[in-house]
Amino acid sequence: MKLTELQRVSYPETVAGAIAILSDEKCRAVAVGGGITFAFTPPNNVEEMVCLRRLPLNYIKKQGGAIHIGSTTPIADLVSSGVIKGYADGIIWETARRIGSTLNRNLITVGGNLVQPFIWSDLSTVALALGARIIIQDKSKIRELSAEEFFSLVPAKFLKPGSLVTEIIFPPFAKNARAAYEKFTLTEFDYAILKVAIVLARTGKVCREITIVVGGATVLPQRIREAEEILRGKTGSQILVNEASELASEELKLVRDIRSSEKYKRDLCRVQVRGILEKILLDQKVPEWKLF
Amino acid sequence: MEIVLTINEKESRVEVLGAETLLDLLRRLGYKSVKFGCGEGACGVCTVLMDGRPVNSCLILAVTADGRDIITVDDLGTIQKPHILQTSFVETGAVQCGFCTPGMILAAKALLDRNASPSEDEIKEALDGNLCRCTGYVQIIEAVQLAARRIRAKKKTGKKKVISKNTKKA
Repeated sequence: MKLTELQRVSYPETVAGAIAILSDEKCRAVAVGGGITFAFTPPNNVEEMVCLRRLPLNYIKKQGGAIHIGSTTPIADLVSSGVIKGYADGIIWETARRIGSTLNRNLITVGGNLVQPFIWSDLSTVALALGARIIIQDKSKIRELSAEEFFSLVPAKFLKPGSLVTEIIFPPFAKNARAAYEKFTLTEFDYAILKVAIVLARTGKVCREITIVVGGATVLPQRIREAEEILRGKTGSQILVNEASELASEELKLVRDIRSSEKYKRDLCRVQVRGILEKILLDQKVPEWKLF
Repeated sequence: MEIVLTINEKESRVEVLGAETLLDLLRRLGYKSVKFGCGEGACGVCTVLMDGRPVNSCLILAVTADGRDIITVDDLGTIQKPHILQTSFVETGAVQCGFCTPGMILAAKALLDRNASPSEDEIKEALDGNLCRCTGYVQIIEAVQLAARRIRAKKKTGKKKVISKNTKKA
């Protein structure tokens, strides 16, 4: 039994109030969003839990084409949101819909999913692919980090005590842009073995800009830059798509995963990248089985 | 530590331990319809409604449930006067060992409270976190469809209309 030193649970109603408690070193306080991580692995050296659920950070707003999501918004609210479904070919909606089960999605918050990424976490992959920006507030300032900066290290490790992720902003999605996300799991709501998110901008069949992100291979999502490079500025063709997907599977960095071999994951990466590119660059109708 | 929460419409002031889960607390208080299954949010037998949403009570620390409104299946009906979902589960043969049934019924209730005409896919999605190892899912989905038809009929007529399990979908 852990949490033996827990003295208090507070429910601040303002972000400033939460930060004041979290940044007070004497409190030994920890922020709690959905709280799943703490139920699984209760920490030992915590005196105060700061529940974030009463903060005014549960929202989804569309502003000038960008989507602003408050960090305490449950994943289930992304699934039921028409704004999320209609943004970026529904890529965030599709990602959210496949995070855990309905019961889990009612508890998991957007902020928690970003700050404590595990190898199977989903939102981080799509946030990086879409070039999202993450807002972090502490006692003295509000910072805005690109997803690239935010996921350069495990956020829970570099965020100082008293720093709170308050919002994630997804940029406006261009009219000529396309996006898709594929996740491979053994059962419907199992943790992903591998997932791929691709966002590209096209003029006709010419790929003007592209971001390929693979999650589930390492704890943090990774850009597959060499594969992006051979597609950028080129006219899409099956040969090019095959070449890019081969390159992606070679370029992929992997950590050991008890559930599958390195060879299996590389093969999966190749198949998923190829399938998504066939769909959003070559406009082919790709049957679901072809993506697995 | 003391927390105050509402369980089945009754305010309760209880002492909880730091690492005690909501599931442990509810069972300690005698709500044995909330079952312990996997203990890691995968099976759904510990489902309760928290502020109207179905959640895994094994994934919630009791200390963080202060001020929450909790509903267990005990609040839905009695043997003498069962809830529409409970009669539908019995009539369609959706209950065998019964271990998953409280969670299934609460997940289905949350769905029908917000959508009285769910499609089969919507039912499957709403129940995706509740596992059954006895009946298979066909009868369970039929039970929710039957309950949905009965709830719609009740709303339409303003009183309970008898709809058998063989009545075609309205």
